Amino acid sequence: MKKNKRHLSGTDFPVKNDILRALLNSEYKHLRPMLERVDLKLGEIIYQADQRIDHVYFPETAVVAMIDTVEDGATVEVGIIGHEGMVGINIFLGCLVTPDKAIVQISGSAMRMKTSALRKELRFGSPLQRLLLRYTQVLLAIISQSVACSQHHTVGQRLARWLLTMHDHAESNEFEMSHKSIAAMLGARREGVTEEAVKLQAAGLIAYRRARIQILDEAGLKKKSCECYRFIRRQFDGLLKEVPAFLSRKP
Amino acid sequence: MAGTFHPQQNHILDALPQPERERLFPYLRLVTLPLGKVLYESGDTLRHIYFPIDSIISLLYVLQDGASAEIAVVGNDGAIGVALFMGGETTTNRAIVQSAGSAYMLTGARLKEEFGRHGEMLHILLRYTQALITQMAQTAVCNRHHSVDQQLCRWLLLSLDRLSSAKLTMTQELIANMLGVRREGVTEAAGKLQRLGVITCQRGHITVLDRPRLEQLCCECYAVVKKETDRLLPLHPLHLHGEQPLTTRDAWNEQK
Repeated sequence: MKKNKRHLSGTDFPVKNDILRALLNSEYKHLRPMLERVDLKLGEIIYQADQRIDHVYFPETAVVAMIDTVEDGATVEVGIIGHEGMVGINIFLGCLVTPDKAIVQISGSAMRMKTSALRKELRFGSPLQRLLLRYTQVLLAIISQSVACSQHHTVGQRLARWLLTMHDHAESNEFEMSHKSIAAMLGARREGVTEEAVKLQAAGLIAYRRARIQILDEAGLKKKSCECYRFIRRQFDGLLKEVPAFLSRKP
Repeated sequence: MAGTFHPQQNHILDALPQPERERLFPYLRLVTLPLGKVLYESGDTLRHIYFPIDSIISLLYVLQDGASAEIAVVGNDGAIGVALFMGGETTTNRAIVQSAGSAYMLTGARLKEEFGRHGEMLHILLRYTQALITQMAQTAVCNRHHSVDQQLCRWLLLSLDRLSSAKLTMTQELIANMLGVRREGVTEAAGKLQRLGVITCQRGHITVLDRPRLEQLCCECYAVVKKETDRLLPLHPLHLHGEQPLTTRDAWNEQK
């Protein structure tokens, strides 16, 4: 079925985003020319809170965190989106602006599409709509888990959970990350994060040098993490298993 | 629980255009929800969607050890059971009645049939989902960064907005469960509000006496959630223009 001869302006395929790849392998082949690969750099803010969204992003090797901020600038991460997801679900929900900030946590590539192009595809009962509905449900589950996790679990558990999630997305065992930005994600004090990172390092689970974190013992980190890591994985694994069915089923 | 109810006392049902109302309202069933009733547990398959009128339902995320955290409160501004139309069918939350009252109930089958008619219902529910996401995200950041005093104010205000009176049937222990904090913390915070003359607490009831003062004492989180809910679900959204968010339906029309 690979007979698409359309010229793709500077875009390499195949794509590494799970949702997008599934779409392009189905009746959504025609989306290809509307996609553009971009490099996202660590710390880059792709959405500011309360601003109009012009593009949705399908991360490939990049990882993006959705952050909620309060007036004094304090933050907490409410969701991490990598190759299994899409940034900009608000568009699908019928909004033009996002209440959250989206910031790049791991540099890498993403495919992006104009929101107007996406909206045109959202016909009722279409595979794309059903898929994004299911994805919204996963996001709801993950956000609600974030609320409970931030209330009940220790900074140590949450740091382990967070490192595992990042590790799942990063292409290597090592990624760039400052204590300051981890603290912002966890909504914890930087000193608290440093203290816990020192413990994980002493236990031989991670190595931390000059804002680079290396994961040495994944199994050990899993033991330190709260249940939330497994919960997040289960949500995404469940979604990905269902994707082909969503795209093949007739309305 | 005297008085007569009408579906349009719920903002979502009220936002429906006339043809949708005519189709759906005959199938709505008015139910009374007693305090503490669990509408669904985490992992349950949903069969109904509820549209509260004067009841308040808490959505809780329950951890393996049984500890829970309230992730959102839903009243006449919303609906319980959004997972029903998302395809996954089961839910990861528990929905429990936090303030007794009434709600209209619709079967999942009827709701799906309505979606099949390509009406406005799905778009309204999607916008509501966005408001719900905002509330959850704000709860996460509030729990992390604001004092129990402030969280209590936020919680009281969100509840108050969803009730017709200023009197909440609620114990401090339940509030502590909702906020995921120690009961002593809530007792202390409630004591402060009581001394300031903002609320009175007696035998399982909390009455708000000075709402403007309560708003002043609250963190910004209440206002953020309220603003987003009002923006996404104003009354009769279809007849408004200008700052109104573009719905997927609008996008289809644009395209035609």
